[in-house]
Amino acid sequence: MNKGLNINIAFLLRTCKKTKLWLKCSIRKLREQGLRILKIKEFTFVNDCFQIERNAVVGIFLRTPLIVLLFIGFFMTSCKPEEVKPSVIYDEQGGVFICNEGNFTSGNASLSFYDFKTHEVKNQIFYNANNFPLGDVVQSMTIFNGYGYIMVNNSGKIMVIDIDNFKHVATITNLTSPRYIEFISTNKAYVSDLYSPYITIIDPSSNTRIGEIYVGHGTEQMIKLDAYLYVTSWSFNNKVYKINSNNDELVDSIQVTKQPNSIVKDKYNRIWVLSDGGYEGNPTGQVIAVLTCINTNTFEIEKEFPFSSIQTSPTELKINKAGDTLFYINGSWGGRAGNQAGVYKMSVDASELPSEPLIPEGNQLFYGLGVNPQNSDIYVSDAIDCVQKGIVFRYNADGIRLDSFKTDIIPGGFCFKCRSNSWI
Amino acid sequence: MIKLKSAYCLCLILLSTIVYGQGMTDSTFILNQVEIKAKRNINERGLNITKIDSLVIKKSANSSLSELLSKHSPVFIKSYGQGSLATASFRGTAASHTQVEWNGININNPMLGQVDFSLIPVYFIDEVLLFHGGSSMQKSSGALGGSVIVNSEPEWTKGFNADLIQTVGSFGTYQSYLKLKTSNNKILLDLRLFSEQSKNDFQFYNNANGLFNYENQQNSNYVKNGALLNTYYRLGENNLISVNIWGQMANRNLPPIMSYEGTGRDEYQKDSELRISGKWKLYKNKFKSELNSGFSKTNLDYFLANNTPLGMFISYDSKSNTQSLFNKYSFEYKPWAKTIIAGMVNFNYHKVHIFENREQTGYDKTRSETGMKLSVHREFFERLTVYGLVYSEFVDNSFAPLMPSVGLEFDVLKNQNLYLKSNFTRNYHQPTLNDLYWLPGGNVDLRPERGYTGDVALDYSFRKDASLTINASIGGYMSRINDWIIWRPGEYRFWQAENIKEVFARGIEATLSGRVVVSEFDFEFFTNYTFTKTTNKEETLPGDNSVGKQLIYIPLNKANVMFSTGYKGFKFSYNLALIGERFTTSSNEITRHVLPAYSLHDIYLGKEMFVFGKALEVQFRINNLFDLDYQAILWRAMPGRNYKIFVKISI
Repeated sequence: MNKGLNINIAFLLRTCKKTKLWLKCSIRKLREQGLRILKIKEFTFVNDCFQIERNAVVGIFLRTPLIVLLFIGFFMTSCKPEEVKPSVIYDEQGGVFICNEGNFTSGNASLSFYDFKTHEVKNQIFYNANNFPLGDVVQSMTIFNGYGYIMVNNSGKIMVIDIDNFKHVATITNLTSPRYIEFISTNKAYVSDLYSPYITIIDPSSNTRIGEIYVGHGTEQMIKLDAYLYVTSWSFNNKVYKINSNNDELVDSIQVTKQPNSIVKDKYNRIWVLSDGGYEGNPTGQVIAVLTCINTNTFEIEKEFPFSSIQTSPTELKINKAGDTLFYINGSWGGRAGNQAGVYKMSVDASELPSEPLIPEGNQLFYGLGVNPQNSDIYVSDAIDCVQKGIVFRYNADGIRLDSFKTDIIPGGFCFKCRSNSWI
Repeated sequence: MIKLKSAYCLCLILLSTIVYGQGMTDSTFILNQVEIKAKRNINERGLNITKIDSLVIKKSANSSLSELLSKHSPVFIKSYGQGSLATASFRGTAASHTQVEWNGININNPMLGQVDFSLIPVYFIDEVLLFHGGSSMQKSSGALGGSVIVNSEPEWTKGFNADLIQTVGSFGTYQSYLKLKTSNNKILLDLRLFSEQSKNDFQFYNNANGLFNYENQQNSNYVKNGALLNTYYRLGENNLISVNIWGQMANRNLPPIMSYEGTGRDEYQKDSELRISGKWKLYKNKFKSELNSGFSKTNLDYFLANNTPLGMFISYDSKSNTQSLFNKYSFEYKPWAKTIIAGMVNFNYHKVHIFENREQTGYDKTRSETGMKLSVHREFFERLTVYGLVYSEFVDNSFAPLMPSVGLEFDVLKNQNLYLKSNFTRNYHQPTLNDLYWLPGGNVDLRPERGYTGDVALDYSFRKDASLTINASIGGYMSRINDWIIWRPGEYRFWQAENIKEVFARGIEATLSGRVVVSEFDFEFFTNYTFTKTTNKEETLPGDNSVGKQLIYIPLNKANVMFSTGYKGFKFSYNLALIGERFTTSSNEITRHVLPAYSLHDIYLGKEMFVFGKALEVQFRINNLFDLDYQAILWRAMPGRNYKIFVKISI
């Protein structure tokens, strides 16, 4: 047991070098007086500082009366020095991060967090914790080893955050247009990319890029199964690539229906690929959308489920934790699918596509889909006019609406943070 | 005194034109040419027209029309930075709701519907008129916000004139302008050339990537070159034939936004335009007619490639070209002294080709527009003028509903220069070709946007010989725009165009300007203020929180203050632009989604002198005097304080 002092600092105005220097000197003085300082944390907002350390004793230091007001919260604490992560915990039972894409070339992407216990949503959590924006168009987020990897597509970078306090940890720069990340090991992860012909290899331990795998086309969603990585190539392509993660080599590819946009693996270790078939009037022609099941042992198509109408355009294939139930959004070009649009649920053993949606779209416009791995709750978003806070609707696995909340501009990707297991 | 002299000279030139005009034609012609006059021409009454002072135009010779309008007009210019795309929002409407006419031909891009005002050099313009709201129906349909009319005007001074302007500015900016003009009684030739280039690598504080560093703007250099040839020919006493040819190219690299930290990009836009407008004006007793034909050809290439470790990977490579033909016949007939009947028939044809190389998408489409207009202006009891106008249009053989406009003007204090004006208009704006045919997302089922607008304005001017002039005006308007087109993503994750918003725009426009001459001091001032409230009227989408909220990027408040003084050839000018806060979300979220208000201060100090009998003008300018760090558009870096030296030689 060590007695010590935690210092929480929040700056009222922008931090300047002088203030920081002064702060360092002050802390040194405190140390000289024999106080043991365990941890120094910086907050962007004074509010956060108080909220987190509720029983804090607050000292207010005034440096230059006109320019800088400094707040320091003292908190007497006792903790074990060997504790690895003493960071602030906002959520007790986990929650879900929502990637708000923001508007292309506007740099207004943001991150929201919905707490499973309190059922509250916090918006702009990245900006609030770090005092700078995420960047331009957030495509997806994936959690690995306590860190969140956020693909900032049109800023050509990956933002790495601490998933407990949302603090920025590192930026992986010099990418082209990162879309998704799949972790191979603690030293290796693959990043797919829309506008470059290769998959980038990064090292999550150092957060640097270490190589590329050339595939010749833009890549989209990925799924890892044993030593192999299966990658869809969506934009104007019809391929699923197979990559050996031991030697980072492209070993095989299979042709599926045009524009495979999402991929999952089921309990039988098969992979499911959802192809939207392209759009009306595109130069390579539009075909009927197909859900394809691929046997990974033979790397051959096992089953194909063509959709009923050329007007439908399914996206966002997801699977529950047990790997036995698929979910997807079936939408349409200009709403022409009518009452067929909505979120569909399908067993991996089914012999045909479901005919009725689990959650009919009604007059909404469904955009992003997420399925909670803990309880199969369904999260589906509507971006409204795309220049205001979008809505996220939460349903249980049977399609009963539980609640809804507003996040930020164009909520798209969902990333679940589960406390009970080592969800990757 | 030199300054005064030149001002008097200008007046003399104008007066001489008037006198000359009187000698050769009837009164209709004169009124159209008069700059300073007590009462407006009957067919301009009841209309809300702003004319930008010709001295201001001359003073802004080295700026683009976007800068001129943002400093001297109620139009809000949304600019991406120096030399970059600048679009207009007139009375709180979208960029495509401002129609721009150059020497009688429309220069809105038929694909995009908008005009890039940064590509119109003020040096190539002699006259700028703004037709607010429904008053724009005098010129064309479709201008739900208003029209910007830019014209070349002949200056019939005999002999040869030339002037040369050279500027050197911060961030490696160089501008050169040359004008050569020669004329006799019959023929006038006016050639103008310009060339502008800038490295534009200004330093800014980057608070968007977590590094909190000063950085230099990347990939933002540009080159612009242009030539304009105005030819005028007087045929007999009543005919004027003119041909205006304008060719221009602009190569602009496009900088990434502040949060970009990728592999590096090669992104550029290349614009080239050729525009020709020919006019034959005929002035007869009681009758004036004008035949106007024009041609315009524009190319717009956009290219985006990412530098990757494995070489350059092109993500976007589109080339587009548009060709348009314009034909218009208009007349004015004055059957009685207090009545003017005006009519217009036009036929325009647009051909658009756009192709994107990587995805191999694009479209080839045409559009034909036939329009007809008839209006009657009539003065009653010397103090009241009433007009009625009807406009009808066929677009691609489908008949758009009739667009009527009515208005009146009342001389409130008999001959004391106080006028009350009001008009009401129904207008339609056709979807742009991109809205209809863009792949993916264009929607051929789009309906035209429908606008209803009403205006009331008070105009006052006071003039005491040459020493004191004051002009003041205040006006209010209300517009309703239904079926406003927006783009939003569908399930395919690409954007598509839909008739979604129902918009209610209302506002106040006020200007006050004047000139005071006290002995050898010459003071001029100009202020304008606009209040623009443009809100979404109806909830057309479930969960929509934008009802009653201000549209994005339209400031509620905008004001300009200009003050200049001259003394013995020295000139000092101060310019203040105040832009209110702008929302970037349709629901007007406050947290992280508001661009704060900002004020920009520009000053210049100049001296006019004669060296070896040639007029020489030297100016030193400071823009953004207080080195303000601001954003006009989300996360687009803007330059801090910057300088410019301006030298002009006239022969």
